[in-house]
Amino acid sequence: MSERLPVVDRLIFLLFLIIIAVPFVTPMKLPLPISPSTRKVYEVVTGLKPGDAVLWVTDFTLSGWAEVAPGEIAILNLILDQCREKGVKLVLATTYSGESMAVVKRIYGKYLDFSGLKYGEDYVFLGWVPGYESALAGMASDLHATVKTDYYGTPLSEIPMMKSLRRKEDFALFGFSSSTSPDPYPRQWSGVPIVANILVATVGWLMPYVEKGIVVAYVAGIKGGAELEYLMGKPGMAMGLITAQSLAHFYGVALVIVANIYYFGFARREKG
Amino acid sequence: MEMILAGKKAELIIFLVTIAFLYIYIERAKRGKLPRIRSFPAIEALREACARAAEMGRDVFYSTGLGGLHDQYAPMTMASLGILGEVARLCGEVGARLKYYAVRAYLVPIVQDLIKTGYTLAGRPEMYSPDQVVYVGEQQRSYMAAVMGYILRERPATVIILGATFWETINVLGAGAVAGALQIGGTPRLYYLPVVACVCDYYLIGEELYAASAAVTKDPPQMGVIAGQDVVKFILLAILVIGLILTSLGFPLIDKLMRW
Amino acid sequence: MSMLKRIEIPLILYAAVSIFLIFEYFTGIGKGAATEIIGWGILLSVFSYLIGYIALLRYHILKISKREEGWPYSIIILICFIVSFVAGRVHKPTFDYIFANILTPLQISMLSYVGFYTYTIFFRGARTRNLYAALLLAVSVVIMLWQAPAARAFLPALGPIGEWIKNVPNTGAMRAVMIGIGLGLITLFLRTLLGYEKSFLGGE
Repeated sequence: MSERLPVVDRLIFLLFLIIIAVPFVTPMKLPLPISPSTRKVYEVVTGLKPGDAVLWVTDFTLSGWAEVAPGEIAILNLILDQCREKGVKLVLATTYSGESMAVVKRIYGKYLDFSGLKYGEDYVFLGWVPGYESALAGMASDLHATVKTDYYGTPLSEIPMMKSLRRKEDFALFGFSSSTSPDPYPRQWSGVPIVANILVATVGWLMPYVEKGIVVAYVAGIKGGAELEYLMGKPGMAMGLITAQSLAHFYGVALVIVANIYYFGFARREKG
Repeated sequence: MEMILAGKKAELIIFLVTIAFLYIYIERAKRGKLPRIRSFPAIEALREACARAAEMGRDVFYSTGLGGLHDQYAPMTMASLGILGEVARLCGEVGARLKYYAVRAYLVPIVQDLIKTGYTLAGRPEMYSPDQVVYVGEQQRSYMAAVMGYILRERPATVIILGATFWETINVLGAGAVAGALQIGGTPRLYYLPVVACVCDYYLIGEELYAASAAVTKDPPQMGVIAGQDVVKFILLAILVIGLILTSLGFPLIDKLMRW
Repeated sequence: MSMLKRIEIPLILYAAVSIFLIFEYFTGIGKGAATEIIGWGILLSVFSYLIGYIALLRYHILKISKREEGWPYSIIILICFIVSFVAGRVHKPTFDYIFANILTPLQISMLSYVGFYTYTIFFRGARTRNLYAALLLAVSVVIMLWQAPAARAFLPALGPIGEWIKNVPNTGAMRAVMIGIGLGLITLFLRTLLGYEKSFLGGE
């Protein structure tokens, strides 16, 4: 039994590869309208006041890297800008799984700009707080009881900026990134303005919370990340990928049309 | 009522009313008043799917998706396991080999038991082997790689994916389409249901999975809760419609009640 | 020993814990104990990995001993498993290296399959067999173009249409799904409490 894919599949794959490689070989600039949801994220984050505290939970896994990481990098760098300019405090954590730590280490180590900021006074990293929704619930009700130390083993009571951050009411903004169902976050952290960075496929899942105002703004997928980078004036990973995504979507639409022409034009004629 | 936290009284009442209706309909079903559940083409096709595999001398591949029994996807996994028992029995009747790839460790002994019982009920206990259940790790990617490799190599005649499915479904169903398998899919997780609807020959949409599982197992309590759930849904729908009308007329009574 | 095998024991444990957690949710009484119990649950679920390790090792060792098709790959799997397991216990930098430089790129590569097989599905499955399939495809095409910023620049109408699809029918459907999932969980709770749901105990 042949293990090779049929010719038609190989042709589809080859064309797909060529089409998404084109923007990397020949840089192309395509228009980028900004969606209301991304603009709202920008306004919410830049509207933070001096001394406000933000808790950001990076909870997506490697499977969501391509879609969620660009937006994550853009949002966190935007918050870090607020830390520099206005003295906003940022607490970082992850709750989903040990795999999220791999994502966190990549992003925090390689892509975020902590220059001009002091650990313990401007930002703190809590590490992996196991438990997912129960960890979120615990942090919302009593952060110090749920997380005894930061990622480096320092008790929270000894970290200057953490002394006044004990429960969700002490935070001006809660944010999360997720590559799966986004339900647990608004469930546990409602009452605090929430910003989300999610997959395009899970936007529908988040909309009931957006309509109720529990989630105030969200960034979805590579497109959202690119829009945010554009608003920040700092092109990054997302703007590098968005052209390829646009072309890939056009290819998908073309395939749907070709498939129907083939089916109605040729295949049915062969059958009958 | 003073003991109940503010904002949760209405929630508690809805919870207790739901429990009450579910209990009533379970008891009715146990006393023989079984609700009528419509037929599902996907379930009626199971016998055809297993017979196809037996004729072609190939496997029936079954998956309950990535959900487990400890998370919010437990009801989906439970429903799928109910159908798996029936598929195992059908495979035993027609003489087809059933293969299952487990992505949760604790599902291995559970599914082994289900398959063994299915074959035994069909009078073919000798067809069962523990190696019909393969554990591929807790990771979505390892599961996807293992299942795609299996489908493209072994070319099962039938691929059945029912339960909590995630994005790996796209790849697995794509591999099944390339392998020319008859595919049956269904999930209450709507993200990838369009893919299931496009590629599968038969499918269950959303909560049809729960109803189908009840119809397959013919378990009175399971059938009773389907009817009980439907009644509760009608009640909630009525509350929503009344609330919509009242709010549009300037009386947000239902909204206030829900926040009590 | 036969006493431990009775199904009443896990059912009583289940009933006691779930009813307490529901009581705590609605009243707020016993929050500390509830948090502790949830923590225990997380710890217990980790033990299920042991079953997985045993199943994995058994399957591949048998495959190697019987020289079944693909048995060399089983050797590779066992070597990778043992090396990662030992490195994680004995030498963390090696484990971190394996995780960051081997596992992570491999997993991201697996994700790329989605793109390729999605397009296979477009060709093989995206056919207007009936009215509903045609409607599904039409909406899919609109949403795909809506998600391509370049298309919205040339066809501005895509913006409001896509937003409407997202905000109205999609959100409405998601709300219904959430209600369904909530009811499903309550159903599962009641059925397990009453002892009707036994599949998690492993049996008929």
